[in-house]
Amino acid sequence: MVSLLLLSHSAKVVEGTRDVALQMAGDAEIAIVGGTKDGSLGADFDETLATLRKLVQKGDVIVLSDLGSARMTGQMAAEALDVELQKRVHLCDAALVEGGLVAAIAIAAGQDTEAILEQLQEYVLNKD
Amino acid sequence: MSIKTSEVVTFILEIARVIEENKQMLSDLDAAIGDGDHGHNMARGFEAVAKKLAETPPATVGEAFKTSGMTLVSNVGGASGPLYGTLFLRAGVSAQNINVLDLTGFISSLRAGITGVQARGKAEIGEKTMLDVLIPVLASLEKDSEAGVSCRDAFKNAAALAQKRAEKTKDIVATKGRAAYLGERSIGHIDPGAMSSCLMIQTISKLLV
Repeated sequence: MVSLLLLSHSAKVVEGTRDVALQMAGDAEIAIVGGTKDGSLGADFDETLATLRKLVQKGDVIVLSDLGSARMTGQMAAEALDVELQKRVHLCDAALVEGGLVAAIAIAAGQDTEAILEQLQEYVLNKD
Repeated sequence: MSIKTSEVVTFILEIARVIEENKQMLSDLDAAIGDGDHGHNMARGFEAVAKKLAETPPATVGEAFKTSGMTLVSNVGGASGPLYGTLFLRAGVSAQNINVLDLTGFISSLRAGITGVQARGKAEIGEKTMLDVLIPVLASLEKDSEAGVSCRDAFKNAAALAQKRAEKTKDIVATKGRAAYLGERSIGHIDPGAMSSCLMIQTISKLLV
């Protein structure tokens, strides 16, 4: 089973994005991490890694993020996993909201990772 | 220069103190071209580093760097977490089993750290980032080391250069990070990451006197 992980500086951004996606894809598994431990804006590495660890146990994970630190934190969390599990993590630079919706619909439709990533290509931004 | 692991810890603790002392200045720089939290994020991260190093004293220089890097990644929250975290983590890998750090060892660690930061942030020199300080500092230390300049003088030169290069980021248009969204409007402001890197080099230099 493919799951989706949404990362942002802001808890509200990922909560809202998940709401939008679930409206059309209620069956998709969507995990979110947004904001820091103390509830302010920022990325939370420990929470990101813990969430990712849980999701990869079940299969492939597609990770979408918004800006700088959320994205870099996602990369570092993926690199912190065992090499075998890293292969299940697919970091994608698609726009968070549009990409989140597209991925969720594809996941709910039971599509495989490759097909989902291909659809996301259209929404990829230059985030470097 | 031969710095034992316990002294490396002292250096990192002093960096933590200097960052805390300058957090408002760093956040003010960040407020002009970013999200205004650089100093406070760094101070929170280094406060956690100081606590961690006190709780579990590292056995090697590599461990001191790695513990610092991991703690920054977990506690900073902003982009400086993954970036400074990577700098220290890679430096730690380079200094893996080293108990005494000399200038050559420091240069190797800094080089490894910079390579890591470049890979993480996809940045080069001249993009208004911490690398605009760290890359010239590395080159200066390498040059002085080859010329047989004393460690103290090498860091003195590096600290002066760091200040100059940090101030020079004023003239650069940001193309990386949050400041990139401002484009030309980022001109006229010092990059906060360049300034925090400058403070670290200056702190090391002062302690070597």
